[in-house]
Amino acid sequence: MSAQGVPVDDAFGGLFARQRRWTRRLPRGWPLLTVYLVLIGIFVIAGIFADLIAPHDPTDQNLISRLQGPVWQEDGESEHFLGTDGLGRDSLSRLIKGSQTSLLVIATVIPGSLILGTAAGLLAGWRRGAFDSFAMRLVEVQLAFPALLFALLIAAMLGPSLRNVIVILIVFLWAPYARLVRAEVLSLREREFVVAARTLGATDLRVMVQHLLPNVVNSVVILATLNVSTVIIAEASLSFLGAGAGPETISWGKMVAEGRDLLKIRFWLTGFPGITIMIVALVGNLLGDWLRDYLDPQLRNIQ
Amino acid sequence: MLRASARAGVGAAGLALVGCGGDDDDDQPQAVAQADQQQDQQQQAMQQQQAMQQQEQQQAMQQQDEQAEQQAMQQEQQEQSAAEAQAQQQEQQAVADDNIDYSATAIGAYGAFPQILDQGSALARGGQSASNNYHYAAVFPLDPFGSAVPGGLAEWEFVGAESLIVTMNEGRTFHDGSPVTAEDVKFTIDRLTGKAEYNPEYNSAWTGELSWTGDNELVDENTLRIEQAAPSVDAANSLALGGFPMFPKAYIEEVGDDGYGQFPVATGSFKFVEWSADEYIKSVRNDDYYNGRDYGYAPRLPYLAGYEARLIPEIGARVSALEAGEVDLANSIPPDLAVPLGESGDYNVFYHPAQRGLHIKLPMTIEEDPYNPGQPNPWRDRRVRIAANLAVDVDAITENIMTGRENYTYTLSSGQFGFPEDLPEQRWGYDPDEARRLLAEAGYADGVETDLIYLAGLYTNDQLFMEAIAEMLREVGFIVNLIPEDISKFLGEARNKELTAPYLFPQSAGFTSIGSMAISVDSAATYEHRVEVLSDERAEVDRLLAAAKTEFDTDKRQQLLSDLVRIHYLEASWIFLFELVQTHVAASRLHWDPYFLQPPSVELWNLKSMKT
Amino acid sequence: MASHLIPRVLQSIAVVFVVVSLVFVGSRLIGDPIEAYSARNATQEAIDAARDRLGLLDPMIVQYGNFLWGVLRLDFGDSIFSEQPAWDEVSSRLWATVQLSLAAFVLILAVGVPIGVLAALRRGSVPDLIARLIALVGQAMPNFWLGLLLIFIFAVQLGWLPTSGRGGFENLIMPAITLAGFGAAAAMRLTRSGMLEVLSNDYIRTARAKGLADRTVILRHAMRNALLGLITVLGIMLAQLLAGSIIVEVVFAWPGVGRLIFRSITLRDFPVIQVGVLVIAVWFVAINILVDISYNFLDPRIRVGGET
Repeated sequence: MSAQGVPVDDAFGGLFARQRRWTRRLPRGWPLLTVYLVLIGIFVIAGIFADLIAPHDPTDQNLISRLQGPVWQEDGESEHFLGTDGLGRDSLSRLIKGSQTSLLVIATVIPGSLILGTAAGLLAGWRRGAFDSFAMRLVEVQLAFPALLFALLIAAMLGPSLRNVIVILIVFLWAPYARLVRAEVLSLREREFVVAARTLGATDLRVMVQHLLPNVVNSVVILATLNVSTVIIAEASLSFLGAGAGPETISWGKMVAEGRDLLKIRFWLTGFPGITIMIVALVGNLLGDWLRDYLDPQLRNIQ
Repeated sequence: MLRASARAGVGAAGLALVGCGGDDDDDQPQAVAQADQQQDQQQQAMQQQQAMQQQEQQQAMQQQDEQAEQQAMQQEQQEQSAAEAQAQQQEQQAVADDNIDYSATAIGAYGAFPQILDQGSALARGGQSASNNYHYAAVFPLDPFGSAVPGGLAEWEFVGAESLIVTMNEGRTFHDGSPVTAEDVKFTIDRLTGKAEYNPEYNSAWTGELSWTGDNELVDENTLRIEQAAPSVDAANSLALGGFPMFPKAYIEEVGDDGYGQFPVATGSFKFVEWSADEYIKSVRNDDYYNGRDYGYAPRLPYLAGYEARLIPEIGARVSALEAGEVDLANSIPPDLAVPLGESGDYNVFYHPAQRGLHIKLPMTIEEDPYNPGQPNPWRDRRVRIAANLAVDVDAITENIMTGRENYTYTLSSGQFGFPEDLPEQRWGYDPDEARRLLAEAGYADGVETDLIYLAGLYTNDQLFMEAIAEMLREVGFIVNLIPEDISKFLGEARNKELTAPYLFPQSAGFTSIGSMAISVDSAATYEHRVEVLSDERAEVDRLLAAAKTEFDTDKRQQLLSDLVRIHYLEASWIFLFELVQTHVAASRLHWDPYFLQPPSVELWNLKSMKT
Repeated sequence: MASHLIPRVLQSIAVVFVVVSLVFVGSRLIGDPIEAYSARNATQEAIDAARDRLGLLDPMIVQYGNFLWGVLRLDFGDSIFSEQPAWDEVSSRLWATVQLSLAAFVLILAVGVPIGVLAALRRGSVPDLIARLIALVGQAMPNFWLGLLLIFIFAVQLGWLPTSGRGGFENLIMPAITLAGFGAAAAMRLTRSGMLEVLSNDYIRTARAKGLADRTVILRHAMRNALLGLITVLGIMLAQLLAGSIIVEVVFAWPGVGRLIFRSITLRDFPVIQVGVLVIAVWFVAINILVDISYNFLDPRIRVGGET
């Protein structure tokens, strides 16, 4: 093909081909994915830079201007865009600050339970034997154990605090990962590449980390994404029962729980954090669905 | 509920009486209504007169002995304000009797129930005052100030300073129809003081109130002599307290404590029918109740034919049940919800001044700062304590978060009992700049770190006002960790004196007797929430208290007590807050005029349902 | 089958044993109520005597032994507050909670599963989108919030249903919906994806392409396979409804076991806590066994316990 003899058709074709390649490189459903990612970006940025973004100090009280409506309501003021709570604190700032707590909970609970559960699942599936039965019985104990009641016991013992919430959630959320990973490892362990690695003298650790782990990552990531809503809702439920984060912590779950008494006359007090929780949980679930479709269409049964 | 030391402490006159309003829906022509009202007033005035005469006679009889003197002192004070109070009540008594529906029943929603229905048991703490105390009536009835008056199950007479003679009245019966005998009174006192033969280990909630009792013996089948181990002006009053139980000996010996806790038989104006611990407590009017509606004191024969207490833990659900017409009365509703409902005109709001002066007790007994081992406890420095008082804007809290009807409390005495007239001029007030200055002067310019403990969910809006207080303290330089605790943990820690941080506590809002004050103030008292006074003033407080106990000149005694109250207030061993006012919302057909100055709860015998 | 069942049951008993032991330790760590609920001027001797009567002064291991011995004799001790047998306290409320859980489960089956099937059959249609959206929202809503909203709308605004308490059928509707909300949404999504997966299988495609088989036959076949995968998940759901009903019971003043345990934790009434958790754990493992059996029954290819 000579340099000067490029047919026009080809030139155009090349152009279109390039364009097709460009869009083809984008995953299916990319417009929606962009929306999800933007929303998650907002959530993460709000969480990290909460102190810079928040228009007011979220703990600043003003008893005179308490229970103000959002700006579009009659009693609203532009000073407080989403109104104020029972102590005159700015709802928008608290919502932003609350994203920090949610982010912290998600960023600790999900990796925590994921690592714990994946490690247990890998070991159980690969080594089988005593550890396997032990781990699986533990999973069963975990599932048979009323998590909420256990959380109440802990709160009664140590008092409510965010740290306790995180520990409790990790303790109760590792089990699904362990189950999932173990099941996958069981089907992988007889596959050729694993058998080959073993016959070539790879250590257990090497097999697990180099050969098994990469093959379970997809499903684990999907489960983790779907867990975002579980974590946020669990935190809210614990707050409802008085076993959530301590009084110094601002969290969405606590905002919903605290505002519920005035649901009738001041809907937005629970409405905004409630809707925010829903959006984040929704995006988490949608993203999880999308990831599942994208990474591994066979894994439809991951809850 | 937490029971402050002086259960009888219903004597503070400083409280504004608040009616339930809402007479507008009266269908009757106004003239008739007014005429009825006048009649009503006349009747009441007559009753009041009679009652006063009775009281005077009593006093005359008791003049000789020292104790009577003490009681006379109390009654003198009360008579002065009794007329006032009665007048206040009459103002509100705008409900025409003709309109009352005597066959009506009502359903009230509560946030908590007692664990058992035995009013005498300490295990019933929590929810008791809000639920079934209407099943019980004490040995003696009460005047609006909480003092015993004649006409109850029995009459009483002091014999010297040593003993109290209780003589049974005719025709008084328990709910099961059996007569109330002197033996039952003896059994009741024995049971509550751990002397009853059937179970000496009974876990009584009333030992403090009955600490004055010594041996008691039946003189004859109608008469009981109670020795006073510690002579007390409260002897008769403590047998008249609201909710004080009277137990049927034969019945309890038959069914046992556990059986009684499930099915109480008592003497109150409402009769227990059945309950389900998580759902309801059903009762009917005790038509055999010995004091009719024309009786001048409390309690009386109820207007309602029946009452059902229903347990609805969630505030929002409680209000919803009221709005849906499923219940007629929603108890303990935050003012933010209650006030708009009242303003809508479809509901009556009952403001019920509870007998609790809230304060934050500061830890002064420990020497070391828990946050800085080796350093002295900053709370032992009076300047730090004053700074804490100056930091909290109590009026802003009551005005904005609470009902606005709460009074600032000088807690040890906010009423007429030894209250220094000029104390309000010395009120700490709100002055954050001065607070900061004092902290700096005390050497805490960098702040004082402290926990702040409260029993979560016990009072209306407690989380809100505690967060507000914490923030106000932070404003002036305290570093506050607010800690909500549950009831068992809190009570246990209080008992063991393990509460080493400032904590929210309700003190009976004003004492009516030296005896009850002594429990809290005396340096020898073992009471877990004892008033702490440091240094030289401690000896002075003990001296004043001892002097007051033996001072029979009323004015001089008042002076001694005033000095004591003043020392306590200026010592600033507490952060003084406010006297709690509970808010309940009722259907417009229900009317309630508080009889007591500080009613223990909505007085059900006094709850009227209008014909619709 | 029995030979598979026996080890399964034994394992389950072990699970219950561990759960109950953990709760025993937990409820000892939160302290006892004697101190807090004794008479004001009770002496330390009196308090110790009260503790002694409850066996609380014994070493932990002795208490544990006594407790296990009691469990074997089905004697769980008395509630510290009501002095009624702890078992009676729990059993008198058990039916209320079971009723609520079963009603919620029926809702999950009757609403979540069929809608999931329909959504899968009409993939991409407007009803499918609406169903998916509702399911996503349902899974993203704290249930106390849902409950209070339902009360506000259907009891106060519309006046159709009673706000709270237990009584007739109408009292059951809102609590059951609230409790079922999350599960129904999850069931709907799982059913939908399960159905889609089965429908995309070759044999169904072939059958459809041939146009031979009756449509309903295909559907029945597809559904059977899709639902088989759901049984485990639904079983776990049913098991967790019982323990998860606590929030719904608080919101709707439903007199059930969840609220009893909640209150007992606040009061430190540990005999009641222990029986309550025991009942929940037994319920859980019993349902798991039932799931295994039904799995085995529906799909003979899978043997009970074959997984492990």
